[in-house]
Amino acid sequence: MKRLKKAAAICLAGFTALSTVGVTGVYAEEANYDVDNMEFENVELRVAFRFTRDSEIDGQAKWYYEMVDQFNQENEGRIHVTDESISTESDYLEKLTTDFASGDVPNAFVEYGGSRVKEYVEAGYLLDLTSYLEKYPDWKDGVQEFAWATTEFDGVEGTYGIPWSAYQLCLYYNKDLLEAAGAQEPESWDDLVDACGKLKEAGIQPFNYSDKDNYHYEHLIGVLALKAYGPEIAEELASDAESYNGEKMVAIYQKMKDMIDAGYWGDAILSTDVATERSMFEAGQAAFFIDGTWNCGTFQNGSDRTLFDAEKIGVTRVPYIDEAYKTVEMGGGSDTYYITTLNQSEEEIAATVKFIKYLTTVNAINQMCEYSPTTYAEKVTIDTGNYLLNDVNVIMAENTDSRLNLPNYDTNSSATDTIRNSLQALATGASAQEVGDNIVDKMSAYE
Amino acid sequence: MPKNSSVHRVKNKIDKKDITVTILFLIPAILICAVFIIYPVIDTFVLSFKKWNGMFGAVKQWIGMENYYKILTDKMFWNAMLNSVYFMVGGFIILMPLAFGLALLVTSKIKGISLFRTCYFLPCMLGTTAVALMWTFILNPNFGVFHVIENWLGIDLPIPDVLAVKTLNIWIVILVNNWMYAGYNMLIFAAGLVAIPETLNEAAALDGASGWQRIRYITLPLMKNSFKVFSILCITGCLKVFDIIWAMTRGGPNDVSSTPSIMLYTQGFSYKFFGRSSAYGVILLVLGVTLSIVTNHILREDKDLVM
Repeated sequence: MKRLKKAAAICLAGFTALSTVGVTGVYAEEANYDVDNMEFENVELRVAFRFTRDSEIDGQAKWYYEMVDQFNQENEGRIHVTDESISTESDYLEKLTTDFASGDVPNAFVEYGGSRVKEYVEAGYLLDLTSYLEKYPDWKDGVQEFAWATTEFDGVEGTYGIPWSAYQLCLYYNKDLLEAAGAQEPESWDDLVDACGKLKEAGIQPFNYSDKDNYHYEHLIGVLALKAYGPEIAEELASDAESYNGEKMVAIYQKMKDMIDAGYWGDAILSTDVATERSMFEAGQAAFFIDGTWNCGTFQNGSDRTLFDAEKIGVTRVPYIDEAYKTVEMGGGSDTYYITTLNQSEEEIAATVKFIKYLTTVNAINQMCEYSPTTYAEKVTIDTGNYLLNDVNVIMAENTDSRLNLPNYDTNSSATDTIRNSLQALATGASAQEVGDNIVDKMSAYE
Repeated sequence: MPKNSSVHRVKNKIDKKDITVTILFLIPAILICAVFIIYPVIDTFVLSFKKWNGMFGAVKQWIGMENYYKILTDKMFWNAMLNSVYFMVGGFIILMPLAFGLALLVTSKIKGISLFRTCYFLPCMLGTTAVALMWTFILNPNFGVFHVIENWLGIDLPIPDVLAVKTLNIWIVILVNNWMYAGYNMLIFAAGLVAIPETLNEAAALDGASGWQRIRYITLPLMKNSFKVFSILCITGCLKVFDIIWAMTRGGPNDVSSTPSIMLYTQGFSYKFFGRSSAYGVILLVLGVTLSIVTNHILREDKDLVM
């Protein structure tokens, strides 16, 4: 009996010791962040981005699918990427929401950061890439400092994504139309109002402003608030030190309202989408167009390139309200790749990191920039010859500070939709104060 | 007695066999109903008393009636309900007479009736999104039909953005919806019309009844079932209308053209209030069932259609 006990004790001790070795071995394997030198075997990845295969006009999509095909070829038998892209934003977000509710999430997806993904981070469903970035310092250094904002979250340590696109709101203008009306490139908001008056007198429509897509007003309100009160306004609104129906914000809505009432924005704000607004600007039917820097590439690849080819499009900063904040802008990192951990194996996670790294090195983004010349989060080193992009790069290099969309800083995850919906009321006759009150009322309903 | 007992045994055996076969045949249908209808309804009902942000594994916190309280005290819900009521009013005042008139037309003996029937049904075959986009483009002040007409006439008057004006926009959507579904509902009424024996109309004509009198005293009373089908489809359809509004206005601007179904969707997928979204679902279900029962009661067989 004594012998039996002794044998059992030895066996158990051996088993325990071996287990520890096993665990240590697994741990050592888990702690390996060198994804480029890992062995993979038949790993299937599902990635959900917002590209459209076979798109003739979207250079980024063309580049992306070539990269996916190339990656699958290079990793045959080891990793295979299946694309689950949906180009329409609302459908894409709906699928993502359903995926996270059911637990059947893609291995990687694209989003814009901030409050839009904070819940996923807080739930622990997104991968902290800090250790991988430390393993590959060139990968980390390839991303411009300002762009990391989409991957960092208050109260949560770590880097939860890889940004690949960057943007800033700009004012595009038609040089010929401004000249015909005797107007100058505006620097301040008052200059812009003055130019709009001159254009209107000359029978030229200043803007065909659009908010059918429901984000344009929110973008403009954001940049004007930054240019009136400085970058701190973003944090003040998020912490309730300032309110969306307070005096400061109502004054911004009023500026928009004045433009609507004067007819400078056009007659069909809520029936016009951004693509139509851009087309009308390209066709010379409006003198101004406020939108992101991605339009540098869109103008170059667009169907009506007359103005672009003749170098008749000018680009400048969105006009300031207080000169002290002339170089404070709304922008930063935009499209960001996030890697999910929910119900994913260690091997799948490592393979996903390898794929995302493949897409986001400076060399890869240089290629993407050739396909679609615009601003990127990575430190692009090539000159595409796009004159608008060159001007934009000069503008961005002089920025003193920047912030993302204001609702991104809010803890209320409904902030973006609530603010966007409420701002549409400006075009339906609501007063600036009513719009502010409506935002606050709605947000309190979704606390 | 032995004979009776044997018959009884055989009968019992057949009965048992019948029951087994019946159950076997019913099992697939019951299973499908249970998995795809009964379980989701029960789950939605339970979820409507909880708070859940739609995150896998996240705790679904019991909050009692709070979701219902928030919905019923939210003026956006009542605005959405009002829009559904507008849809019902439009359904009964515009769509029903229109569809009935078309049905009278396509069941009458005029030449080329097949062509007319196809034309009236065509909008329904196009699909909601196609119809919605087509009308959105037609009504667009920048490049729509009115803009083209203005250019053609050489005038430059401001064209109102009708899809951006509160109340007007919902009525525009209602008219488009009625235009689209007139052909579909025409079929419901046409089916009722062709079921009326021709001899009744002929006898009434011999008795000197006018065309209107024949419709009032023969056609309408005998078509009560068609009207019942239309009414129930109209009420439940208007209550849960989503697609055409979503495609034309997305419930905007500022939620003014929203309906309870759109609210259900946005609460869940935009704001991640899945409990509240479920409560919207329960409210819609209860309203739909209640209104269907009331309609059935009003249009029951022993009651005459009042004209």
